[in-house]
Amino acid sequence: MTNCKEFCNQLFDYLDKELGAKECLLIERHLEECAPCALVFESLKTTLLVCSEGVSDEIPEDVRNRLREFLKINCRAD
Amino acid sequence: MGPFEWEFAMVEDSQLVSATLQGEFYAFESLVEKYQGKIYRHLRKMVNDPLQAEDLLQETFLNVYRGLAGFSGAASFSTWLFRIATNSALMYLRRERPETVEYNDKLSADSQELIGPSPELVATPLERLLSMEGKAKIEEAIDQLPLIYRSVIILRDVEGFSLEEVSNILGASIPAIKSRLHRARNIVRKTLTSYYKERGSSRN
Repeated sequence: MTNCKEFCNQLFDYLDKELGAKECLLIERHLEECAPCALVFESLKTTLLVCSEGVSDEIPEDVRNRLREFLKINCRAD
Repeated sequence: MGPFEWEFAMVEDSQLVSATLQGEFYAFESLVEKYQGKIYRHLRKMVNDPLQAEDLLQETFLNVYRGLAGFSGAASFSTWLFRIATNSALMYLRRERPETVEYNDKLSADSQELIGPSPELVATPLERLLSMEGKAKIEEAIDQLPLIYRSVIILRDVEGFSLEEVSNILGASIPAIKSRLHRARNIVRKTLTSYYKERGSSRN
C-alpha cells in the first residue's frame, strides 16, 4: 500500500511510454495485484481516450469556404 | 497513426511544401485541406471563441504561405504549422485577455497529489462517454482549464503530438510540459467523474 502513491504518480508516464522496460514491468505487476491502483489506471486510460476521441475536428462548411476565398485573394496578392 | 502512416504523411507534406514553393497553389490548398480541421479545433480550444478562431485560422494559413520559404524542415511541417497557430492564438490572448496568459508554473506544483480512483468514470460505457452529451462534457471540461493546462492537453491528448513536439510548439521544457499535462489530465478526469457521478454512471 505504501507504494501505491508512487505507482499512481507514474501512471501517466507509463501511459505516455516514458518509462523503461524495468519500470513498466514493476507497474504492470503492481496493477495485477492492486485493485485500487488498477481502477485508477483504468480511469486515467479512459480520460486519455475520451480526450483523443471526444473533440471533433469538423470544420463548418461556411468557415471552410471563407478560408478558401480568403487565401485565394490574399495569397495570390503576394 | 502507425509509424508507416506517419512517415507517409510527412513525405506527403514535404512534397506539398516543395510544390507550393514552385508556384503550385493547388499544393498549398491540399495542405490547407489536410490541416484546416485540426488547426480550427486547436484555435477554438485555445481562445474559446469560434468567431475569433476563424480569424486566427485565416491568419495562420496566410502566415504559413508567406513563411513557407523559411521552413527549414528541421521540425515536421505539422509541428511548424501548429507553432504558428499557437503563437497567433497567444498573441491574440496577450492583447485581448492578458490575464489568461499569465503563466505560473507554481500552479503545477501540486501535480504530485495523490490520484484518487474514479469508479464512476470507469463504469460509464464508452458509448455514453463519446455520445453527443459525452463529447459536449469533454469539450467543456477542457474549455474550463486555465490556458497553461489547456494548451498542453490539446496538443498532446487531442492532437496527438509527442511530448517533445509539444515542448517545441510551446517553447517550454519537457519537465514543465509533463507537469502541466498531468495536472490538466487530473482536472479533466475529476470534472468528468463528478458529472457522471451526479447523473449515474450506467445508461439510464
